[in-house]
Amino acid sequence: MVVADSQASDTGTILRVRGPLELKCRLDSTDALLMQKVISTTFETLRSQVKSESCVLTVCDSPVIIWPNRGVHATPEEITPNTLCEEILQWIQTDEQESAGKRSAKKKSRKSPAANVINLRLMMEVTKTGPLSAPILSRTVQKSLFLSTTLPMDCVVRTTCSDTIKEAFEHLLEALTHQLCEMEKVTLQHMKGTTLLVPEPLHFLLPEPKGLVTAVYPAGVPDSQLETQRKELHQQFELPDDWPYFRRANAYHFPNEPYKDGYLRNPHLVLTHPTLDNGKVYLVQGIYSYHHYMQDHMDDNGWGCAYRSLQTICSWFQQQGYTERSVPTHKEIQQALVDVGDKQGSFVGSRQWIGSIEVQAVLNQLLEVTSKIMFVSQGSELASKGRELANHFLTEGTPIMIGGGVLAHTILGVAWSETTGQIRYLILDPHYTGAEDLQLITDKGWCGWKSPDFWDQTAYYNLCLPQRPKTI
Amino acid sequence: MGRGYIVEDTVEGYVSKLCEQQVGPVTGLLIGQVNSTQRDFVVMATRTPQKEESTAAAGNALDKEWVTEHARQVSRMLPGGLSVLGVFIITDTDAKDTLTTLRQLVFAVENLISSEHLWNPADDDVTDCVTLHVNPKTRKTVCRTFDVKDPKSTAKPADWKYQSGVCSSWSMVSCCLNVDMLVPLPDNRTSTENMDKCLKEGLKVWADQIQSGICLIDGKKLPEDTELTAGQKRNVRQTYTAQLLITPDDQRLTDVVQRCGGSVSVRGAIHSRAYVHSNKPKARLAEKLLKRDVVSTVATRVQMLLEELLISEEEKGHCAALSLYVLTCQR
Repeated sequence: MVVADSQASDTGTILRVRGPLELKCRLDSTDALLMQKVISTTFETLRSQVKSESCVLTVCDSPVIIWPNRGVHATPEEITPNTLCEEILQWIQTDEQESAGKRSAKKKSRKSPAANVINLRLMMEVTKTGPLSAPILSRTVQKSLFLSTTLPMDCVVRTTCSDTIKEAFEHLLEALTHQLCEMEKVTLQHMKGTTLLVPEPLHFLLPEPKGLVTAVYPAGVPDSQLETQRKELHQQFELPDDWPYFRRANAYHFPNEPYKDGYLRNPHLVLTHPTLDNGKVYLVQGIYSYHHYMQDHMDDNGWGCAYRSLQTICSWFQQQGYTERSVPTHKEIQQALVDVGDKQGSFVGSRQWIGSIEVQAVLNQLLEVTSKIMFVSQGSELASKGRELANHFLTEGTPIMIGGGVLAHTILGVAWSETTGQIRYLILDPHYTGAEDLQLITDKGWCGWKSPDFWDQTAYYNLCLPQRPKTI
Repeated sequence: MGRGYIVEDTVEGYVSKLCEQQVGPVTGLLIGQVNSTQRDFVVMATRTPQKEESTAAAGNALDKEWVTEHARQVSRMLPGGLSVLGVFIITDTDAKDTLTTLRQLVFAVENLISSEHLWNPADDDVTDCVTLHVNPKTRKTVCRTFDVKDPKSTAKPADWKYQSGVCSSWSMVSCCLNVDMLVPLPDNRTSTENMDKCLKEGLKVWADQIQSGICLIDGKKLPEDTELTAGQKRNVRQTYTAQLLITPDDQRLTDVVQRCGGSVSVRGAIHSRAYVHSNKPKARLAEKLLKRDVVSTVATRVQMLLEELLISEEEKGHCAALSLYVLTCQR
């Protein structure tokens, strides 16, 4: 991958509709076929509800309400079927706007690169006009089974700037109906006896031009047991079969949903690439979190840089779905090194440095990830490693840990010119001790592009290049 | 400052008529609308009906249960927006003793009525209930309030003021609403009493959805603090049509499939309306009153349907016993 494409979705607006739908029915028979029939009928009822005039989509944090099946009727009156989708945005009250008075001037300079997301809620209008019949109570007494759950509907539609509300909402409605079909399929497929699993939709951002797609999985079934489904999806979207795209960890994180763990994700995305003659940019693929000194209430200032670099690498493997293991703590890293026989028991809890070789050992021990070690006897030699590093980011795409005689760093990419041999390194510095302030981190170069003189020209370096498992 | 009550002056006429009758103490209900600010509206007073068998000998002994049952039934019948605000008593007994009686009555009435509510109290609900003591001889009128949510509350003086045409230009908000509910019955017991319980639980869940639903008035979502009648002629009765949008709770049950002994469904539509006072009412109040009327209308309807079922079952049971009797005789 030459340029990270997670930014390619910036244009246009994403419409995302969510909302539970009640799935309720009585199953009078335990015969599998009859049960399936009743469940299918119930899904059909839900589909007709979604297509009915009662179906309403409300724009979150705004007074905008749209009836997609009533000629895309909307309130307030200013909104008509021919209004552009983007114009809905101005009706949405955001937190930023509320506090805008104070710091708008400062924040405007760095506009979030994220795409606009309009969140909608799926609702049903219960009031009606026209002929109505009085309530009737009816009772069936029969020993049977009662199915009751809510389906967590979650559909996305990407619009271009010229899309009107009418067009976009027609697509949304198609997406909702389609999702109900998918949910029905998954529910019936995974029905065992009288046990049912709730279908769960997940969104995945595929490389362009495919973009955002949605898959429905049965809740509670681990990724490993869904390999067949995932393989089918890979085939359907013509994706390579050595890279996971449809594990739950790959699920798309919407730009308006902050990560709850507090770590920054991919801070390098706000940087501008260096311009080299005939140069190309080769970057880490996928998502990592930025781990550095003093995080997690751990004072590791002065000794923990390689641990932090390793944590950044582990976070990459976790967020790409290769492992479900959480990012290891300093202690867990030390224990792993004791377990492989690399260190004595007293190493655990100490403040001793580790290097590239230890990073390799821990990745192998905790994540079963193998790594290549690149040895550079003098920092000046690093300038000639452009081809190898570029190749690494193309085929593996993992962050590289670089250590050796001096401080440890993480390399996230290179800008390299094949013709002139010129090179720049994208560095993530684990020695940062401050708060998770993206502006500060990128302004002060804690995450930034460095020229070859960044390296100590006379010191030796070991690079640990993690090799990603070839699996889906 | 205590609460103030703006009272329709027909109430004054009603009360003085009762004073003239002079047949021992008379109790009754005060009906009106609570406004979140300091002033409420009383539009009607209605006396507790006399028990047919009760003789005048019952005299001073108040039948608390009779009063509360009356309140419960009246409360069910009231149009949306109106509720039982408190109780009155017409007696020449010493004011102190009367206050104790009124206190007991108002707590009992409020407890019974609120036990039938399927909605959750709102933050801006007023918990003060009104009591009125009128001395038939002196016509001295004493108005006091009690905070019925505080069992230790003491009487607070309140202002009682008659005025004409208090409710002559109240607005009306109405809607037709569709109900579609399916509830499982327990595996082992499917008797009608159990059905009552299951339906109540089902109704509670549904009522929560209504309460947290979005309410549109004349097709628009009004900010809570908007004045409902803003920009319209004062003293003219306005009517509004409401729309309700709901969404189910996102509940994740671990047991998707349960055993059941059957199911019961309620399907159909009801008409709901709520009256709103004319003194700069807020959209929030109209929404709250309408939603409460929707919930209580459906709950009452379901209760009626259940009672009907219960009666027809009793008759059937009677028939079954009869035919058994016939069979035995024929032998």
